[in-house]
Amino acid sequence: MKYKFLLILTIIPLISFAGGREIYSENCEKCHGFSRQGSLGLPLYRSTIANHSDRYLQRTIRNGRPGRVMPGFNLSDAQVAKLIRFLRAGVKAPKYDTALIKGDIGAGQYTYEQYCKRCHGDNLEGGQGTGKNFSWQKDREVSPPSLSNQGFLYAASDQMIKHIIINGIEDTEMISFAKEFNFTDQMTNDLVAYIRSHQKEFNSGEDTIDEPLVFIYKSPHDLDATVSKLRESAAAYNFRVYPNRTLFEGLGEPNIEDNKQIVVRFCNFKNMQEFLKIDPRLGVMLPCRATVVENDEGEVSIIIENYKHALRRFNNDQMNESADELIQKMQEMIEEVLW
Amino acid sequence: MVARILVLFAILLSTSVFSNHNELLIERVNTKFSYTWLALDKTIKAHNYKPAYLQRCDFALNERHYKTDKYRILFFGKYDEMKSMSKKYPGLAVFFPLKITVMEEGKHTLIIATPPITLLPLVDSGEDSLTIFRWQEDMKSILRQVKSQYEK
Ligand code: HEC
Ligand code: HEC
Repeated sequence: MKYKFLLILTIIPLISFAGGREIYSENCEKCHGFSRQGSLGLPLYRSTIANHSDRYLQRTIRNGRPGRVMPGFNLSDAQVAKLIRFLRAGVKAPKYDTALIKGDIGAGQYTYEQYCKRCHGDNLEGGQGTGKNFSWQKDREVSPPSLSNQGFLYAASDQMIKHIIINGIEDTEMISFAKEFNFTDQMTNDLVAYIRSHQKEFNSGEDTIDEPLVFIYKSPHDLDATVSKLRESAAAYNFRVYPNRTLFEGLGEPNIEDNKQIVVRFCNFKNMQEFLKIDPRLGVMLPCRATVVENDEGEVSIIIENYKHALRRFNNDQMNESADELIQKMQEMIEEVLW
Repeated sequence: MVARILVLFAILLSTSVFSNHNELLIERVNTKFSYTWLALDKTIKAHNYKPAYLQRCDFALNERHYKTDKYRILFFGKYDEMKSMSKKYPGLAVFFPLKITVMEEGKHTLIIATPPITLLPLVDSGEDSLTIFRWQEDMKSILRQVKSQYEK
């Protein structure tokens, strides 16, 4: 009975005839907002989309932004077409020549550093954090997108990039550089060539992490000693340590056996605040914890999650870079307990 | 039995076609934090899970970048099931109880969770995989139902 119900649940999406709005609501609204005002993702106003060719939108939807939060979507051609029609809301699709633009990369780099770097970053990596996130007061209304992201470079034609530099994007901080700074055609071409020089072979397949999901360490101490050493060690590593919990606290009648599975929770506020600015979804990884378990044979282990896997789920390179140190610190902290 | 195999098949199919690998599960709820929180609590219970406790993320409160303190994590689970699963596979313990992060964003709320199918590599029998698939479907269903309660 239970299983039949599950079967029906999983088959429903296979046979839906959703329109563009529904496809948007199902897949995009979580990041781009109910009225496309932006959130974790960029605003997708009609005036923004007016700059985007169908090819740009198709490729963006299919491949997303690897390492920059947006996933790729396995939607059918028909679904993608409906979605694009919905996003355009009546505005005609621009067409760009797909011929590459020739320019002087060195000269382009110079212009980039003068005019663009302060927003799009030293290495074109985009602003800290993404989109237009309402939870944070950032220094900008919208975090400037990455121009070196392989998903972006694969989707955007040279002509489209040129068009945006020249005309800007209406009602955003991306101003018209032809109007405001008298960019010449040559300057713009050089700039486009410089941006294009960041493109690598596009590889939408993700590399897998060849590491376990969890690390299990045998403790040489008994349960109580392991827990208290763990707390001491966490404090020594500048974590704030919370009161212990039993693993199933609040889930069932308190049971003697439950005292053999203890969760030690700790946080480093400074780290957490940095992470939150990069990706507000951080909470799914919190709090940092180590679980201490004594089995029926009286053996005690410390189990921690391999946060590398958890981080991968954010599809956020900035997050990965900042987390390496934290992961290493946790491992050292545990090793000290085992010693 | 046949139904079970079909279910497994259908789930495998649906997870490969529709969700992208292990992407985080996210839904945007068209109401403010406090309503979302209540709806979540109710919906979790309606799915026969027990809300266990909440974790406030007070680390963000004094931070000048943060405009709201509406950021919490709700932990929930099923005692017997999770107890027997973690006994069999100790590695699973670090993922228990299950949790959903709730954060206010302007007039809306985001609810976010790690997809339980990421735990599949930790178990080694079809039966136990099915349990994890069920958590996955329940998690998705909980998030969707909370969202749908406030749809325009
Ligand atoms: C004041 C900050 C700022 C400066 C300076 C700036 N940009 Fe932008 N740029 C933005 C923002 C913000 C966006 C996204 C706007 C939106 O879609 O809402 C953007 C978007 C773009 C886009 C579209 C990318 C995409 O993913 O849609 C391109 C291309 C671009 N900028 C290139 C440049 C170049 C080249 C320069 C230098 C000549 C430059 N920008 C200078 C803030 C800036
Ligand atoms: C997990 C969050 C997330 C989801 C889901 C998501 N996006 Fe995005 N999207 C982003 C982010 C973040 C960016 C900007 C990347 C950057 O800053 O470089 C983006 C960029 C875009 C852009 C480029 C905008 C521009 O101005 O160049 C388009 C178009 C887009 N998304 C469409 C969609 C559509 C359509 C869907 C649903 C099928 C979708 N996105 C789902 C996060 C998301």
